[in-house]
Amino acid sequence: MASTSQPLRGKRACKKVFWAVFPHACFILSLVIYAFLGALMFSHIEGNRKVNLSEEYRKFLQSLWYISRNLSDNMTENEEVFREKIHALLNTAERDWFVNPKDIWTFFGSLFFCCTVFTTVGYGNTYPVTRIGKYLCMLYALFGIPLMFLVLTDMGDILATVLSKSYNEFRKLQAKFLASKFCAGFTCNKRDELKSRAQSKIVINEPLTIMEVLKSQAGAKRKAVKYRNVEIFEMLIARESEHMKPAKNKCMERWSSCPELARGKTMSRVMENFDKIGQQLEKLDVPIVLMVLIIFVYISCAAAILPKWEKRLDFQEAFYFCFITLTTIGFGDTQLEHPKFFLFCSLYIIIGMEIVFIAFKLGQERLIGLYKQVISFCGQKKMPSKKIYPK
Amino acid sequence: LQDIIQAYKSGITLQGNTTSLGKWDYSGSFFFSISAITTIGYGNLSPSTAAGRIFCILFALFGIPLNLILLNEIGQLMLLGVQHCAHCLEEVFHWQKKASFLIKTCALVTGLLLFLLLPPLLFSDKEGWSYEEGFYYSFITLSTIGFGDYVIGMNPDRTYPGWYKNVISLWILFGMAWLALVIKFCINFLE
Repeated sequence: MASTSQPLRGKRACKKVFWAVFPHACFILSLVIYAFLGALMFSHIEGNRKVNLSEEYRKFLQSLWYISRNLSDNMTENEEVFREKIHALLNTAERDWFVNPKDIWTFFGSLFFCCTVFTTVGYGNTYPVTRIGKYLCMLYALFGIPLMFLVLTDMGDILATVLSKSYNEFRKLQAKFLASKFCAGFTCNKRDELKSRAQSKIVINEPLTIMEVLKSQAGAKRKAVKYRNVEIFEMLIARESEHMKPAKNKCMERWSSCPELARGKTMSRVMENFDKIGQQLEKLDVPIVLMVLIIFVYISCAAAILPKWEKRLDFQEAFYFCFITLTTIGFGDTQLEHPKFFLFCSLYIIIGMEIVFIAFKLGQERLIGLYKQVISFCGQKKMPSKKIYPK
Repeated sequence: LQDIIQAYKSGITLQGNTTSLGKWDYSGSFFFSISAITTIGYGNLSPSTAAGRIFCILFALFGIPLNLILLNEIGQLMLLGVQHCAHCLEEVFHWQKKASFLIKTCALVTGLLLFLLLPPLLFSDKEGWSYEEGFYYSFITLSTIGFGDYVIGMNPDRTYPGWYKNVISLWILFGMAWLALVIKFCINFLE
């Protein structure tokens, strides 16, 4: 009997893993397909652009011929006399006169272009020139940017859980280390705080009770020492009430005595997972200095590797380029020699954008907390002058 | 001749006469910092010294969350304004449900007009672009893609009025806040 149940259990575990991974893989796959389709479309439209010499290009070439005809053999004389003219002439030149569309709009070139569009990086070394190309670019961006945003939020959940778990483990280790050094009364407080903080990560999806509102606000005012005791007290109460409350989450699940119901349970769980996208990101509570440090280490790794095949960049330039790309600013001043290799690192780029995205989210919350403190401080200072004594 | 064309092909540009938005004076630098913290990143102007780049990195690190907060606040203010109008309309006309839907579509249409459909007219007047190019520029800017193929105020043959750059900066700010609000509504609506 045991031998037949083993493979069944293994199969069930496999199925579980599959349905857990499936939504995330779904999003990423759809993004990849979208990028490939866009690349095909743009390489067809822009690559087959008819290059005809426009009137301005002819005039430009003619003026250039006139200038060069008047050049003498003496180099220094040429420089002074004709510098202004050449400057003015070259300023009127447009970039798309000199490039052959078939060279830039190959499949990989268009793929690179599509990536710069839906990640909103927008380097600008490649851009659509034809009218229909521009309209298609706008349409492509309209659907691509939300899709990219969805993928980012989805993977951000995973990253946020990993980060917060490892951070909690690190804090536990740190507390244990400190507990072995200080007196019992002090450590009791810390242990309680850590336990309650670790337990406050339990997710129960129900309308926000006062406890949860307080808990979510506690994250913002974590630094203030005078709130810590209140926080511990409230978390202790919350923990007590959690033990007594019936688990309302189970109302969606049915007892899986038959396989059809079990399948329905996995389906409903998958559907629930779709709804829960972005919630882990909201709950992340890691110090921002750590995030900034992670970003710098991450970018330094890339900046150390990138100059291996981009001979023109040194470490400092590669660092700058990676930073500008990962924050999606994307100036486009740094030209890549081999964009193909950069595409292969697309996983790195997505994770990097994740980390930057999380860091900016955290930075927002911290800044808002800071503003609140400043405003409350100003308000407290003003209070005595505003008191009106009733007569 | 071939050499000059070759040099231009490989991306070397001359530091010729450009407008004030192309030089590193105050207004050019202001426009550059806006393009950095809104993550548009045109690239017509970008730091080339090492110290400039390091400062740009630190500046963006603090500026982008600050910008996100600002956009959020502006979006909330706009939302409050729309709801206030909805309440006023409800009281005046006693429509109840229809009023909020009407107000929302009105706000959407006004935003569309103000931020996407009318600015290209301004651009065609001041920059000499066609309406399509102006629309393309508005979209690429507000979605923060920012290729840099079209940038305002870069034509040395044209004179720009004093209020031009400030109005464009305000337009970028409010337009991005409106767009973020619309996307948030769309996501809420789809869920």
